[in-house]
Amino acid sequence: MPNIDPQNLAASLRRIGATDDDFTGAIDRAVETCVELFGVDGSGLMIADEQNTLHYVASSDGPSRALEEVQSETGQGPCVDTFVHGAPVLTIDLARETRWPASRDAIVAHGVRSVLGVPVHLGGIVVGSLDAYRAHPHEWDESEKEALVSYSTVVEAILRAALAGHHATRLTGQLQYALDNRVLIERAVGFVMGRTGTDAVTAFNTLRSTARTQRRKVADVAREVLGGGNGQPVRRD
Amino acid sequence: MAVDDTALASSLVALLVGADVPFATGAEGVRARLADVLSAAADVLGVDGVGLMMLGDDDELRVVGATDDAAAALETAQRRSQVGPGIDCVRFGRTVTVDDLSRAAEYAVVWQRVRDAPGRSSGSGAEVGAVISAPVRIRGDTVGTLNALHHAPWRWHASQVRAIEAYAAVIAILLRLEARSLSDGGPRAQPGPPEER
Repeated sequence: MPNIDPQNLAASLRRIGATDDDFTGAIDRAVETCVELFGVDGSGLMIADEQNTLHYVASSDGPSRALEEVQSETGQGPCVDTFVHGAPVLTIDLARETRWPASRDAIVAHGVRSVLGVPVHLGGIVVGSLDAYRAHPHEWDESEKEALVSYSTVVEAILRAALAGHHATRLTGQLQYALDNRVLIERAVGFVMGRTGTDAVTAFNTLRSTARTQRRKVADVAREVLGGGNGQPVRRD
Repeated sequence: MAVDDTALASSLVALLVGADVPFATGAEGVRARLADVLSAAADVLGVDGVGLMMLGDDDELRVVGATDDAAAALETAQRRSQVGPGIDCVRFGRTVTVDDLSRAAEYAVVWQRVRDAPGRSSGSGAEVGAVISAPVRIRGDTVGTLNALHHAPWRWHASQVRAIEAYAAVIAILLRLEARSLSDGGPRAQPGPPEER
């Protein structure tokens, strides 16, 4: 076992010090490492906010950021599906996709052609989505999918550390909210699906757009939906 | 030898999965974790030795760890002469590869020092044929260098470059989390700088 020199390690840690951007920096580095590791063109991380909209947290380059922003705006795309279903979602060639008409062309225009998204969990709950993209059509194989799923645990470790620290940031607020309310939101999604006969993503976006339009937190909307339907009607897009 | 991507990915993940553990285990934890990273890097890259040098708060490069005598001799030689692939790696903030140290004119002084270093096990000089040095970066700043070596000259493969850079990134993440938890005081009781003894 290699011997680690305690004095020299301490000197290094003192030099590194700490600032409030530390976790963001660690996440940025993890996303960049993801690109190096898997030989993809870009990678990014999205975490859900209080209105159930996935938001950009980190991205390795411009197209990756655009991939995230377009999905935030439209509520459609591979990372949204990953988040809602809590399972990996991939597309071989986005230009030929029929699944996400509202976001497809804008994402392709930014140079993103094939995407692989995997869920990011905290305490058994899906809090976001880690994605990797290539600028060309690409058939993601099983090993790539498994590798990115494994790598998402790296991001999860950093997020756990962020929550364990006692610094309130926008990110830790989002994470805490997701942890506190995800079960309630999922129940409401199921309820809306049953009542309206829609799929999970549509039901999810119904809750999301209701929260956005009424400027309320999604958990409040979810609570109301589950409360017996005598509150505000849930509108569909 | 090319690096097995699956082995690399699972190794990196295994090293990072408990990255928040320093909160609970303190200085012993981060030392053990760094030792794990160096061992894993040596295994997965298929190299003979790995060493880590980090800048201290006085901006001096110090040897933090090494997996074997040759890696320790290489790190010490670079630190003493202030010349070497690791020194250039920190200076320029990029990965430096040397396929044959004995023929690298700019590093002749390092090769000389390494060759003259007493080997603890064999009694002869340490053998360093080929070296690769990747920067450890935090907040865009190069704060150290991860070095790997082969005893004999060696043509470095692109996958080995990628792998050592990934391990250097893992070290950056671990150190960053540890520095943060130290500055927080962390949930654990810290009577003082834990490593001063």
